[in-house]
Amino acid sequence: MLTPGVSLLSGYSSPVTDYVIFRQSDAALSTPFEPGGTQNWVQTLFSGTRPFVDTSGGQALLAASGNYASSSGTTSFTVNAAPAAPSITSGNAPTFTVGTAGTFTVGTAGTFTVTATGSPAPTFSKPRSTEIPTVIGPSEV
Amino acid sequence: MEGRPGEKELRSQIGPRRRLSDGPSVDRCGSGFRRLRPQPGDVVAVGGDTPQYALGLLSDGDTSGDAGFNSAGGVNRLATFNATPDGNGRSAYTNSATTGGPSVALNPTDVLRAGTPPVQRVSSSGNAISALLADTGSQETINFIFSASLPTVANDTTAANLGWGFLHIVEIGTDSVQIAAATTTNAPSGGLTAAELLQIYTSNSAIQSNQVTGAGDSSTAVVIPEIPPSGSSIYKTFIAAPTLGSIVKTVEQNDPTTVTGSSSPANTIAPFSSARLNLWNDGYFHNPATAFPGVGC
Repeated sequence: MLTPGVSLLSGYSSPVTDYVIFRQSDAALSTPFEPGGTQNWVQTLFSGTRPFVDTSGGQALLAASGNYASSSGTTSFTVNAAPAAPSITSGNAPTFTVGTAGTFTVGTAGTFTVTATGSPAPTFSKPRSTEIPTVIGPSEV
Repeated sequence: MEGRPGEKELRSQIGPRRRLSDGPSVDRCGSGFRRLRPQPGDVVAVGGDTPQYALGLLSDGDTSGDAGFNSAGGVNRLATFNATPDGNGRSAYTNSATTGGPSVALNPTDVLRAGTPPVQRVSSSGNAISALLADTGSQETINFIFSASLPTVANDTTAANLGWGFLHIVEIGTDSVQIAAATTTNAPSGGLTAAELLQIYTSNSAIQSNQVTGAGDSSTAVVIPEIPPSGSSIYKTFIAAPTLGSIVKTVEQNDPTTVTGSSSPANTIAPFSSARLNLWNDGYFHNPATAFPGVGC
């Protein structure tokens, strides 16, 4: 056994949390971690019904590592972006200016693209057909 | 060519494609086996120094006999790669005798999956999230990371843009950053407050114990403040906004020898993981200068 030769002073103490982080898409995998099993690896280890990390054995190992396990077991959460108002970011098409009516030439195909940012992500809807020529169709919006 | 009986028996149990090799995570006293390089069905994790032992023990068990996940003998296994290349949590450096110059930090490598070449070892929580977001192949190399830092909103946006939905976070345990000092220290018995630490860690000139506001110390000994590298979670937890003073020395994270081996141990302080010190005090680490099987193994 090797003794550290140091100790912690009283006074300053700042909490640290240990996390595991993975792709949300993996949490929905249909492939079981063990052949013949029912839980994928995320569910088996961290985030399912009674995952390994929440078993008494898992909690004992976390304690053995010097950490303090949560008394209520593991907690899952996500980091979400702060809400942001939608904002149109696309440039202006040659004949369409944001906020200004534009024109197409009859008999000549034309397209335009609209992009925008915001959180949650903005969605687009096509104006009613009375407000836009039906020859454009929804696929161009 | 036939190997020894034990080798043949092992091959027959695990199939011809598996082979023995150096392990992907920390070697532990009493573990009794060498690790297999991760296969396609195995779950691979990389991460930061502070939580590395928590994940290592979860995968393989502890020295008190608590069984890890892999002890169940499942077909697929959990393989965790430590941030540090050394079982005692130390970093790697170039050999000054070989290079003829001062030792500098080495970039150790790992083989994360069987049949793949060595890649740069993930050495911090910050590196880990970057590595996960860069793992965009059709087959995942890194399945998850362990970290003492949360991902940023930008990280989450990147994950969404990659079609992952978002980054799923599971809190598994808590730790704390406190100030470590030598067992025999000139630090005040009542410890140091955040204000006193701010005074010390932002000083650009030598600061004596009796100059630390409110410490109530009459000693004229010069304080040696230490800090781990800026990419470490201990650094990020300890240092919020202030600019470090020029007297602060950058040292390895969570390594008590940075205090005990300093030029003046009694006057040296360093932020330290309480969980790591718990592990030390539980007798997990043994003297690396003692040859196998080491003391107490």
